[in-house]
Amino acid sequence: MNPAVLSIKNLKTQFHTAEGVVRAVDGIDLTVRSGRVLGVVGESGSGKSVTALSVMRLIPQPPGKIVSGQVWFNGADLMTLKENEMQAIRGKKIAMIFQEPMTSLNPVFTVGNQISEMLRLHLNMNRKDARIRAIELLDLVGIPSAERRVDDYPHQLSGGMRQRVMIAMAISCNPEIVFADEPTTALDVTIQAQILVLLEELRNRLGMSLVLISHDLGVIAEVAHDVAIMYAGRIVEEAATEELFSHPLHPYTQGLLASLPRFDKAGGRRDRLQAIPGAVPKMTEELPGCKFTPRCGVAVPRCGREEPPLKEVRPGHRVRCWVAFGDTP
Amino acid sequence: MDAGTLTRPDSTRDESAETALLSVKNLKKYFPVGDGLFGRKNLRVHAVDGVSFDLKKGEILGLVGESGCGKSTTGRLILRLLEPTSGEIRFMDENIFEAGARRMRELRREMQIIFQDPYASLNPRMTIGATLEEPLIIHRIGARDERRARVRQLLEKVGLDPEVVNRYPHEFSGGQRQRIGVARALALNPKLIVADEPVSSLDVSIQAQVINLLEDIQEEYALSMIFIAHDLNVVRHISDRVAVMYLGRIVELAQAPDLYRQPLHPYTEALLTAIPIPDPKIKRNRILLEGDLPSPVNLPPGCRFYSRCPKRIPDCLKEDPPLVQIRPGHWAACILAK
Repeated sequence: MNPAVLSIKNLKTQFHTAEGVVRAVDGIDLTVRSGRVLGVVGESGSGKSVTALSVMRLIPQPPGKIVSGQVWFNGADLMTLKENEMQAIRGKKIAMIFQEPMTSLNPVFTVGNQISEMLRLHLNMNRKDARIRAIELLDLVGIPSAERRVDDYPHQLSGGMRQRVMIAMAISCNPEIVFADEPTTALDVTIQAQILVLLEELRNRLGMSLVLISHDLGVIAEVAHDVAIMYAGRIVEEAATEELFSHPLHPYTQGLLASLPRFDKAGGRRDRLQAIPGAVPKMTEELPGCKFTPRCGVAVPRCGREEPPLKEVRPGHRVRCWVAFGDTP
Repeated sequence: MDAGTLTRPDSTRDESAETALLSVKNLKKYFPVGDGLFGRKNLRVHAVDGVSFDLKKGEILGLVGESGCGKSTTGRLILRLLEPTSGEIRFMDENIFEAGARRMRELRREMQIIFQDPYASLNPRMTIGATLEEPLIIHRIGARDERRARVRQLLEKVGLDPEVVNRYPHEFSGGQRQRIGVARALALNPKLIVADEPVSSLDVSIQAQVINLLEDIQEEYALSMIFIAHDLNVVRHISDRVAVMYLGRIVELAQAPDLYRQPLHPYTEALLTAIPIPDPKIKRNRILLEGDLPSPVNLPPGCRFYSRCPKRIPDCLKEDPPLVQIRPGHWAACILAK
């Protein structure tokens, strides 16, 4: 097994809102291994983006607060670093790619300017070298005529090109880990395919680890080596990708896979999809047992009372479900 | 109108399947850009550039394509929310662009739309009851009690508790709001529904609920539906026939199983191989398209897909290929298709 480059232990992040305390991330353990792609899957509000922002210490505070947990990276707990020490890691050792490149790029600076700034800040490059390196990076991420595009403003680029610029910025300092939060969700499917190929090429070439956060099980199946499924601020299932897709054990994972329409398996039009009933719980509510119980088709009485632990039930395959542990109705 | 029943007695699915409810002929919509600014005159975005198709009674036609292909503009033209640059749309054998204001209001009873973002399309200051009653008031349908009964029945129909009539949109989840959007579209008992990306803002687990609901109501009322989406999996699931659009044109049109099994246009082929499949054991040969969509302002000569087509030959630059029937019911706009 590849060595761990980053370990998250019992991370809890909360937001104080008018409606109460939102437990966005509620006790997460995750390990990012060297040279691997970890896929983090979840629907809106599952806590997957907040997990990444917590690791980067980018949670707006207030209203947010990391209430407990450790994030071990290169022998240090990121949660205990001073802000200036964290700045030396953020963007340099651990980088992030966001879903919407238009909102994460500064509209009043050229893309070359924005990449150069990273290089000058983190690698102490001078203006001239930074510009040359910025052009090389744009070229590396597949932007045609990079020496011309380096002087473009974000609005002059297409969505796919902007995401390539974001990727160029993320890899500019040769990070050990890149967190990519829904990096292809805003893109068309043919552009998504281009970006996924690019990420895979760069990862192989630069030897970095990638944490791919996505709601799209298709993208995850294609790119990730390992998968963690999140629901209501917790990890409910975790395994190597092939294992997880061939033996999903948590009723939520099973439900997600069954609810997807698939063109490669389509039958007649009147095949009903197997929807998961109900909706995700309000995160301000405190449910005593498993958070999925109200929507679960196989729940036993214990599920509503007692929260199951995340336990290994097959080699390398951990799940948080009493029924998967053998409790029967 | 009988407020107690939603069934349309005159339509049964089988006998109606032959007649075209809607017929779109050579539809074009150009939007002016940069008009006069810096002397750039007469620049136009060719959003919809010669689209023709028929929609049969009781049929669901999927309209797919990437952003900017013109699928949403086509949907809005069908409801005459936009005026076309040229072309014709016949709804129940009447050219809707020739209808006067009064006639158009009558026609609108028969054609409704479901939007992508149910939150943005519901008035935040109106209760759900008032939102659903409004179209009935506008079209002077039923007395007050009948209308209220109808609203409760609509809510039940879309799987919501009729007791929610006094609540406001923000009190509902995304999936519930889209159910309200569906109820509103059904309120006037339309013949045609244009659903514009109705499930794309919903989470995966909720998406399936709404797709099932749309299929149920389609079947129950023998509705005809234009289902606009970018998700090819969803479109395959729900549609009888599928039209693939690229840069304002339909490049392929066929029965859903035929289109997905044997795509004839290289763009459709590339789209299909680009869809990630949620099964890591399936390895596929992906056709990776080069570059981005060309600008819809300066359309390239010849076939609009030329710049990205993996199969292009010099002849493709000679003319913009028309949509022709290659096999029974299977149309493609490519000189190489056979």
